[in-house]
Amino acid sequence: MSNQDEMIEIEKFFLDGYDKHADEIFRHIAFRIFDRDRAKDILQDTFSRTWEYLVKGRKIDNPRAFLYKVANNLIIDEVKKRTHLSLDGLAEAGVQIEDPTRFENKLSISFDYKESVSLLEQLEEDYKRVMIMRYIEELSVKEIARVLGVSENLVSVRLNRALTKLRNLI
Amino acid sequence: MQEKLKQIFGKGKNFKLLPEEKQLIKSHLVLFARNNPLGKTNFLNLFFKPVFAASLITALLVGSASALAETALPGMLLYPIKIRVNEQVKEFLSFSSDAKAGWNIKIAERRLTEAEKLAAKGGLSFEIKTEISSRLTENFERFEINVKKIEESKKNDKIVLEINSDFEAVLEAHENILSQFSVLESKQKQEIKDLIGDVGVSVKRVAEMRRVQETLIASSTGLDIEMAARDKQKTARSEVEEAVRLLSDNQAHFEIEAYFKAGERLGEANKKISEGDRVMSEGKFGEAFTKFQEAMRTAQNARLLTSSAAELELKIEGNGLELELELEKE
Repeated sequence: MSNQDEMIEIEKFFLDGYDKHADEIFRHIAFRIFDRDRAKDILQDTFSRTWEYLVKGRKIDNPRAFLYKVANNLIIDEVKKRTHLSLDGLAEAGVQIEDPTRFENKLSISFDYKESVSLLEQLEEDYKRVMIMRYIEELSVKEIARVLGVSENLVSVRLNRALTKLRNLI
Repeated sequence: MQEKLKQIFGKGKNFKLLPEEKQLIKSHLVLFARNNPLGKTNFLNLFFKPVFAASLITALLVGSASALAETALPGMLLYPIKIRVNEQVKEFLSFSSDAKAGWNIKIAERRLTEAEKLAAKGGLSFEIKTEISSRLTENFERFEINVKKIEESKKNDKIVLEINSDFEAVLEAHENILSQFSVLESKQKQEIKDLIGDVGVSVKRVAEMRRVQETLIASSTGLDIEMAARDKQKTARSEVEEAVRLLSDNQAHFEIEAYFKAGERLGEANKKISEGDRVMSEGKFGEAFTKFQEAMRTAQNARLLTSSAAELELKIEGNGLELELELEKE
């Protein structure tokens, strides 16, 4: 296969992957960092890094898993920078927990996600990840394990721990 | 409970990109892909596939010009592409104010590096200096607007402090590099002096903005600032270690006195980290955060100075500003 054929194929593969997975990855990023504009930047970075990986001649067998992995690394860097306030931290700072405008500003769309954000903020990153994939993306434990590259058992353990933590809040 | 969770989180599935947002990001990615084509593309092969040649040639030529323009200096043919295409496209590709502010810092660094490269060749004319100064001023104004937007929308003092601190480190490092040129070549002395003056004004403004944030953060409390301080402690330590390593690897680019002075500054950065460790153990996390940030700024400054000196093949002398003042007295 000539170089230009290869490039056309890579570009098609890349853009098909974008059309198929962009919404899901964006949603995942947004519910992890609670910032719509920043989520768009990170989504863009996720795909541009994926492109850079592809043009080095490397293959991606599982695009969805790859994209989640790249996005997760970027999210971790972002979370370290931002260190979102936990509800404890908010309470200590004198912010009323039931302040609805905080969530509107964060996700810039609607008040509908207030409860989701409020619950997710209680969780550590590993638990947040699996909860978003299970309850928002509705992936099975098997699918989550495949995407994250971990055992189904580990996914189940994390889900159970997350549920235990959230039990008292619901 | 499962049903309740499904009810709460189920709404989240409706959260997605708007169609125009999705299309806009896609177009950004296509632009990015065109500018970063497959590495082993052979131009000659294009002519054997006429069906695709036209679009590919256009894409690759645009990509090539854009890539070549990255090294252009003021006065060169491709410089307008660097400014009006590459840089504006990159700023345009960012959605959040933090990303835009980060890019403003990068632009300032690019302008100052251009000035230094020209100064090294004796090519910093009055016209070019004026053009660079004007772009720096314009960029700084955009930086202030973006920082203001971050303050208003996110209300996250730590991010604003970090951005201001990063910019201050970049500007100070380049102020120092330009000072080296002010004693090496008298033909451009006035242009370099003017540019140092302009940079100095920006340093003061950013430093003032940074101090305001430091005051706010130093007094903050809570889990959030504790976590941020612990993270900043780790980052500051690795930044200082990296700066020490880089300095040691590039000793040849420093006169002895300058080398020891740079080493002393990194020693001061380490002292700041120790001070930060101490106040952190007393539970003063806000204050610890600002001390670690200060250590980082010193280390970043040293790192930028060292890498610029290596790139420009300069030999850093004691303190360029002091030497310049001595010459003026003569």
